[in-house]
Amino acid sequence: MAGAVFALLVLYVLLLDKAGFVISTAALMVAALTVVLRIRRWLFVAVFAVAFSIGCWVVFNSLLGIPLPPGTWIAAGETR
Amino acid sequence: MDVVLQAIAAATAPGVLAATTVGAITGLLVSAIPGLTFSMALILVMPFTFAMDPIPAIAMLFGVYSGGMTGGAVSAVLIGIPGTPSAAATVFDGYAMARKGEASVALGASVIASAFGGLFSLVVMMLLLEQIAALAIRFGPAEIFALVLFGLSTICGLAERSLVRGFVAGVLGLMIMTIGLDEIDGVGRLTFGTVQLQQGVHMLVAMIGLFAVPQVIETFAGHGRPAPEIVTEDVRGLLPWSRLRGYWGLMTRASIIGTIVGAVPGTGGPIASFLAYDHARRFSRHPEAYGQGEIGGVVAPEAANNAVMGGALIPMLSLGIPGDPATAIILGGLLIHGLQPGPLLLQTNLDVIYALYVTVMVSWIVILLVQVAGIRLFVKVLKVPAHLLAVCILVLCGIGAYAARNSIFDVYAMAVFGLLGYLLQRVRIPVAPVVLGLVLGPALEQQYRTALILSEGSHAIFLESPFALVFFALTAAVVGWQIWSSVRGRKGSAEA
Repeated sequence: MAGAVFALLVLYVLLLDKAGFVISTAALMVAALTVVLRIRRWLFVAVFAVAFSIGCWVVFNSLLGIPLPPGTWIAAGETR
Repeated sequence: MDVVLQAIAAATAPGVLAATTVGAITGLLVSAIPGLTFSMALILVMPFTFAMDPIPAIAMLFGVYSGGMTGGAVSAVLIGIPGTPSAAATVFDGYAMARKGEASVALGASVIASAFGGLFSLVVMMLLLEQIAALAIRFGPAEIFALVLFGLSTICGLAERSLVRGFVAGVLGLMIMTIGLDEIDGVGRLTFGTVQLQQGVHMLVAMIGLFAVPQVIETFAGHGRPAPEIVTEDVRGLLPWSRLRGYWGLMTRASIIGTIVGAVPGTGGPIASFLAYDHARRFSRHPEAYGQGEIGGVVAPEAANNAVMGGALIPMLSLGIPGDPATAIILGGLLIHGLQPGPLLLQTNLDVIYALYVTVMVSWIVILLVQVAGIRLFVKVLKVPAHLLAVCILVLCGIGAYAARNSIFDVYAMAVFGLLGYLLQRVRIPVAPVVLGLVLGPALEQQYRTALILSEGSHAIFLESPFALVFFALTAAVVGWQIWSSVRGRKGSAEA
């Protein structure tokens, strides 16, 4: 369990640098919920993950002015 | 008088009020949920405050502190599991009251008691702060070094049952903070030749990794266990003043206990609440009622654990020594916002201090309002599955670690600290002293080296000051007492 979480974290950070916050975070959440916690309600997981990731982006980046990793390969929302 | 009025104006500005409210509600919610401690809330709220000015940022942190100390009672009463360790003593009578159908009364009483304890200790703090700071202003680096050393030794020694483990943890914290470029000479330490490590470890990154990540893992691991049973009475937002008649003396005494326990570095909420509960039972006219749903058993620990707050702030603000782990985190937060707690703080930032007083009072009002208006919402929050929250918290950890210095490397570092925190947990080394080492380490080193510079390299400076000697003696006393009592304990169990 612990091993899975740490592996996931490392992969998350790797992805964070390349793909930016929203994509990596959504991926992390989906992975955590389905693989680690083995929740099978795919639609719920997907919606929850995407909504939370975008929500965080809006709150931190836009509202609070705290920049989140933009990603070097895929820059989702960099120009926003 | 001008300063006071200015402070009141500053603390009640809409932005600050909003920050206080958000902080208080966050603290209440997080500490109400068992498995999430309010230390975690403090740590995770800090990244939100980076973009704020000092006063709203501190208002938010103190809101979380007030809310956090109060919210633990909600799950203690409704589920029988304390939301935070400080609420452990509240479970005995609180849960019993809930089972008798008096959950609303218990919750209302606990909030009143909490507000009472918090405000009581705030008044004490206001009275004492300036006196202690006036004394401490004459401290030079040698004295402050001795003081910080004392603070470190008490938390490592007193707070944990094993002195050795506590010290290992504290020293680990100190070591972690030496990573990076040395402040005075610019020499790289523990940087292993990498550029990134030269910037050192950011306190918040380490705290997030050490505190929050292992908690997330534990919550994940607990997924699938049956959910604890929540008392299903229709909970109403009451403030049962009439039920508390005759208990005000008890609340006062409990608040005194809490304030003193808070002021002693190394002891905090859990100890205060148990002492208060014990006191309440001993001095009650019907001690046998305790444990069956006696309202005094709710009121005493709740007043005490909130009184810890003001008590712990006295040494923290006037001397820079945190009174308990949560105050250590707040100390870290103040440092991050450029405020150096200690005797100088009262000279240079008196406006912040006064604004703080007002903020704390405001947060109690907010909490009382939330209790009356929002308690049902609270109960719903308790039903949110913990593992979903844990995933969200994991994300917030990542955000927090990145936001500290806009550095991806810091997020890796957070993961590493998470691993460290997990391993420490497995070998039962306590994490709180590590945090203390992190927060106090820079100050300790700086004072030591400044003292030596002043004395041109002679260590005699530490022995020439009476204050410093007093603190060294106290440190030795704490360590000696711990050693003695653990040796005694071992002898006792060998004979048994």
